[in-house]
Amino acid sequence: MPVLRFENVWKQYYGLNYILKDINLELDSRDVLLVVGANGSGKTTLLKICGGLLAPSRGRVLVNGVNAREPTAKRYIGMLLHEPLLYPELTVLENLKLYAELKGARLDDDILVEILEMLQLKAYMGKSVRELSYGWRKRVDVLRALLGRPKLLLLDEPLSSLDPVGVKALLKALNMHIDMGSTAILTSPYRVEDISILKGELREIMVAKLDEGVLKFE
Amino acid sequence: MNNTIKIILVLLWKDFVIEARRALELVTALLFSLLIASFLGFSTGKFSPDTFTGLVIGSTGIVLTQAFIAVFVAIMSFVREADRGTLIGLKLASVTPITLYVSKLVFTLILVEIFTVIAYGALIYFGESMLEPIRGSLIILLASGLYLSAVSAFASALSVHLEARLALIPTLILALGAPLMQSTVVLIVMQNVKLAGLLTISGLLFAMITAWLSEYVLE
Repeated sequence: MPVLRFENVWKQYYGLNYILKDINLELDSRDVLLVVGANGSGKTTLLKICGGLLAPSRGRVLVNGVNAREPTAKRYIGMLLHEPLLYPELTVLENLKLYAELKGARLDDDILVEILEMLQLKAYMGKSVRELSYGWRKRVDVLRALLGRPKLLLLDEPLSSLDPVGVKALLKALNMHIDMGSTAILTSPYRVEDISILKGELREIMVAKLDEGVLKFE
Repeated sequence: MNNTIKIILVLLWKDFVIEARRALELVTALLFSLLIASFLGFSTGKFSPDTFTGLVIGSTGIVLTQAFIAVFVAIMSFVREADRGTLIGLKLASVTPITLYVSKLVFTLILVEIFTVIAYGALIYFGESMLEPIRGSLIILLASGLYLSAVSAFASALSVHLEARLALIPTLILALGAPLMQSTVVLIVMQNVKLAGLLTISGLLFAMITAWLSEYVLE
């Protein structure tokens, strides 16, 4: 069974032009897809549909055989968006504990502990998230997205707000998850340096361009 | 079911810890309720304890104070989660809309009832018109608090995807809560505590209906 399946997916906002047109896609375990495109091309929309946060106007999306819109499908998904999804009043540890409990994940998971070390977050666990800069919040959010060893990782322009240490840790974490059988979709604006970093660090990455709503593989 | 209850408790813990750490907001809302209740108390205290007019003014005022509290809590509820993006985080953490809605409803109920008791305490301290039927009036107010809490949670959930929420939330609360608020005033004035049971049942029914609707509203 494919980890992710798009069946004739179209997406339209408020009766305007279609932002996604007849997307058909199948990704298996260990597949890594990089979706590039200009601003407003629909990359984030595609990712949100994968994550079940948006419903397609037509067609359906299955994650591990389950409709992506179902709450049960979210158990397989780890998603990193532009804005960290953290509670500023809670500490780093409290945020992670909260999401771990909600997802039924373990915080003492070996891989998670290793990623925590790579992201150099140990010293910040007791700090309130509102005391952290945006970059550090993003690092915490990476950890949140990786809770529960998700089978499908969705990362929206992950390189855009992390410093080199954060990028290195994230890519290493991605490789670890892919080696364990996870599938990943990343988006990036059409920036040559981002694409070369990702192609250099991630194993066997497929690249597709989203242009006028159509996904074209390179 | 056990897992659902556990998730509701986890979400409740989160909400109360956040409110405790946002002490200024909570204290301001409480102060507002106290000031209104105290003002009402002073005003109705001009009338003798048995005066019908004093009782009507006092009961109308405390019911409106409850509505204000419901508006405050609605803003602390779904609206804040949506503005921060954490509503998405909760969806991604497999929290179902109905579980989330019930946790917010319980959160709203606890805050509304606590604030109601405190405001009512201020009202009877400063005023005399509602001194006599303290227990009865409080029971009726607590019963109406359940319905208003459900209205507050629902209004908050509805306004998540809308921009005019600062105007929409109080309007929705007053529109949906008006029949109940009128009944509450009448019951307090008539001191008919037995019918408080009906208020409770209508609150429970409204809560159940809105919980069922939450799947569509929060999607």
